[in-house]
Amino acid sequence: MADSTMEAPRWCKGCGDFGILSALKNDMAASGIAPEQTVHVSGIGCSGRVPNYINSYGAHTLHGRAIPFATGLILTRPELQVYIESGDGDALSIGGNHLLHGINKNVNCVFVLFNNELYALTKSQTSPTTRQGHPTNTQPDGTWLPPINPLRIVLGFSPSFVANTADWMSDHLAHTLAAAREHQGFSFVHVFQRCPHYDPNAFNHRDRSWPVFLTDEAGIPPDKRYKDAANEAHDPTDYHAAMRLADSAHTHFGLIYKDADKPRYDSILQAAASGSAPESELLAHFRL
Amino acid sequence: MSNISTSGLHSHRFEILMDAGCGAQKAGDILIRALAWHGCRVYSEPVIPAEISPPVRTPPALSGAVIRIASAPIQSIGNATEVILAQHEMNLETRMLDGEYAADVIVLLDAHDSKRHGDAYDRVIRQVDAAGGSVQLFTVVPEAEALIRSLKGAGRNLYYVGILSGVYGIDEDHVVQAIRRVFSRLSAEKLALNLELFHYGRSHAPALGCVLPVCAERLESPILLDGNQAISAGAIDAGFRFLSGYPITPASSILHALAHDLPRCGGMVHQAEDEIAAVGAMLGAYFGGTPSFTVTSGPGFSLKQEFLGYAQMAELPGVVVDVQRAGPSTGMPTKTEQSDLEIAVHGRHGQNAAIVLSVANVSDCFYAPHVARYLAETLRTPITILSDFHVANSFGVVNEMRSCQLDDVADIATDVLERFDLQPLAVAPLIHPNQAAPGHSPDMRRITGLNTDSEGSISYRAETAQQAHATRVAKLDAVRDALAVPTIHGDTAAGVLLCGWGSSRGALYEAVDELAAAGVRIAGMHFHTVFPLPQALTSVLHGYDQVFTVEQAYGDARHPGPFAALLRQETACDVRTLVGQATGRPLTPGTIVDAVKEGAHG
Repeated sequence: MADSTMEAPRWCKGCGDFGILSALKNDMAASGIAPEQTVHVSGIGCSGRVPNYINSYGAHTLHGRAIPFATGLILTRPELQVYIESGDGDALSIGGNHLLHGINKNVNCVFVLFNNELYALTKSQTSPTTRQGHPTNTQPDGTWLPPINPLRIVLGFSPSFVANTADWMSDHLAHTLAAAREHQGFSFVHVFQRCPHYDPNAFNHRDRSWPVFLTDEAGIPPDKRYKDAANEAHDPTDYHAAMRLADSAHTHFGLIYKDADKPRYDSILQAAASGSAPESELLAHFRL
Repeated sequence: MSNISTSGLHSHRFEILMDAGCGAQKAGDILIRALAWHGCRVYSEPVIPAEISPPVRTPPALSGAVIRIASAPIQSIGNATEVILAQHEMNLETRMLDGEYAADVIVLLDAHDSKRHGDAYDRVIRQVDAAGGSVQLFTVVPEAEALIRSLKGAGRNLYYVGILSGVYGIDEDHVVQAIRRVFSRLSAEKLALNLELFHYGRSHAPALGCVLPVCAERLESPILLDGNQAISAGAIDAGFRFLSGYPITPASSILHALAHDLPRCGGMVHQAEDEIAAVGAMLGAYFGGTPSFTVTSGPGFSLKQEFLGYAQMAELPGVVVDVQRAGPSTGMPTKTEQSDLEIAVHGRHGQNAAIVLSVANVSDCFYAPHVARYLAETLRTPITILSDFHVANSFGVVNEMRSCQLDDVADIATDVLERFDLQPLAVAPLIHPNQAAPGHSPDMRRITGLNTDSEGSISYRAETAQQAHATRVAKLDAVRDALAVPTIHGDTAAGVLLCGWGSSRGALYEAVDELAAAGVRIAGMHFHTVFPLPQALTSVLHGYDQVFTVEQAYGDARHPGPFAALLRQETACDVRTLVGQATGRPLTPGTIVDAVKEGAHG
């Protein structure tokens, strides 16, 4: 079915979500997986609307609850390709618990964190990642506390895949999504996302000189349009180096960490669910 | 002590009381099995401490089993305990506060602690005497006491099993068989010691001078299980292949049973990170086409409400088993109540009444998952099954339920639906015709909690919102129209009707029978489907002079209990609450009988 039948996105002009949406669509096309074998699951917020705008199966769930919903689907339908879209308030505040356990359970999906560093759809409130001092409608004198660092939190839960990218680095974003999809496990993709309406100057996105791309044979290639950007070698299997890099999340992009051997909850449960005991004997145990 | 009967008892209730960790539950298990093998109808209720191992000789440490036996079918725990075997005076005193013992109760009291706590023993014995009962102190024979000491205090429960099995004249082979079954994981050496202690107790029994042999008439194909075990087996038989849950008393034993059984049938149990995640995963699995359910109790049920409202909006099937416990808040986790009725029917924001089934006994527990799945998948909406602590933990001996191996819900047997007063649904209204699961259709389904039109597209238009509400109400009406008014129990021409639901059925029916025998004209009506209610109920209720509810939730003469309030709302009939008992204890026939008699005099 053609995209023309889809609803038109209702995001603001210049929103970073457009870039992520087209990257997701391109990744689906590049994957060769049929759209009907693909499911996009989201929470609430601007990012939550993605499933409504993509030609695949979709579930726009509750605020913070995309991961549990997706977990039930992934456990029971392992052949499907599942993407999860979530925002910084959705994933790190109301749904924080689910993110920790999603990382730990390591079920197979691509998790995309749209980090615009505030609540946008509810009209500019402080989120867990809002920078200190930034005024919002709930903290008008400037956000009181320093932001939490999503990469540190995720790395603390021994993830299997952590990558850092931004909505305006389309080439890098595409490579990141492809690597995340190819990885078998919970692929955590952190995407800085512009919010032109509430915080237009959060990221110095027009300047292509400052980003540093992490390079490794097993990593993600630097964005080819960023000719003047610096590259830095980083071994994504080095956990301690990854932890140090978490503090440079605003400047360093690429594959932060990868552990291909981390156990997957979904494959373990699926392997155990192989029995076919006769149902008629269910009550035999209780016979007198 | 004199012999009560030598001709065989028709109904009797006894209990064994010990400190937590001393094996009272195991002793109860053994006795229930042995009595069932003996041929008795058994109904039992555990006394379970809310903590794991509270300090011994304190009130919270009380652990035990209440066992009612009869020669004919029974569905309630009955009124009063006639024989108590207690480990020490503190267990006895704590339990007597519940006031559930017969006036002439016989207490068999272990004298083990009486040397150090003589005054306390004397005080409690005087209490029993003053109430009209009698206490028989006994001392475990020295050989057995030495053996118990060598086992570091373990095995006393087996001595008590010996005593009680002797008192009731249960065939010794049946008891030994039950011990072997309950202790199947014990080493041969430990098992032999336990059997030795059983035999010491058994030999002690005649000296107590209490002989109460029971009548026995075996069922055709008897099985013995509790409500949670029946729901677990029923869920597999109903085709559920995914259970997600979070540990909570008293629902956890369903998780335990199915963690073992579901993988053997190609399914899985997902222990989620919290209650919200558990219901979310259930809905995600159902979105993928896998029949799925979740189990919980009050606090968890509160947390699940947002997702249940989402499922109604997005038209996702789902089944929630709420094993109710005494509330509100954390309440009394190991005590029973029927107080989640209101949240089950009306608990979600945005005008979303929901379909609610209930269970009265272990046979219902087996079939409720079939009916819930049928309704959930036919109407694409979540269904709640209300069980409770009492039915979940009460063991019953029943004839083995019929295996259905339900695949397509359209093939559900009519007699299974009729158990819940239902016929097959005539219509299945839907907001969105496209209910395809991923992978199966190019017409891809996208769900959302936002209001949508019939194509599934987000819509804030006035008429689509009104239409979606009308369709959700039409789902309730589809059930309403398929419902029959429950059969009257007792006098069909009586002017007074007592209504109950869920696990109160046994007490309600027994009370009606007892009142009828005493010449009181009264009828009883028990509801399996508690919402919606049948259309014809309004005219039926208005035909009575007086309609009352008996429920295990708070209500009094001025304040209708939750079920009375629901009946008033649905029928505009002046329904009052006769028994609105929120004590944490199951309803007894005697409580209802007394309330009716008081009402007649008042």
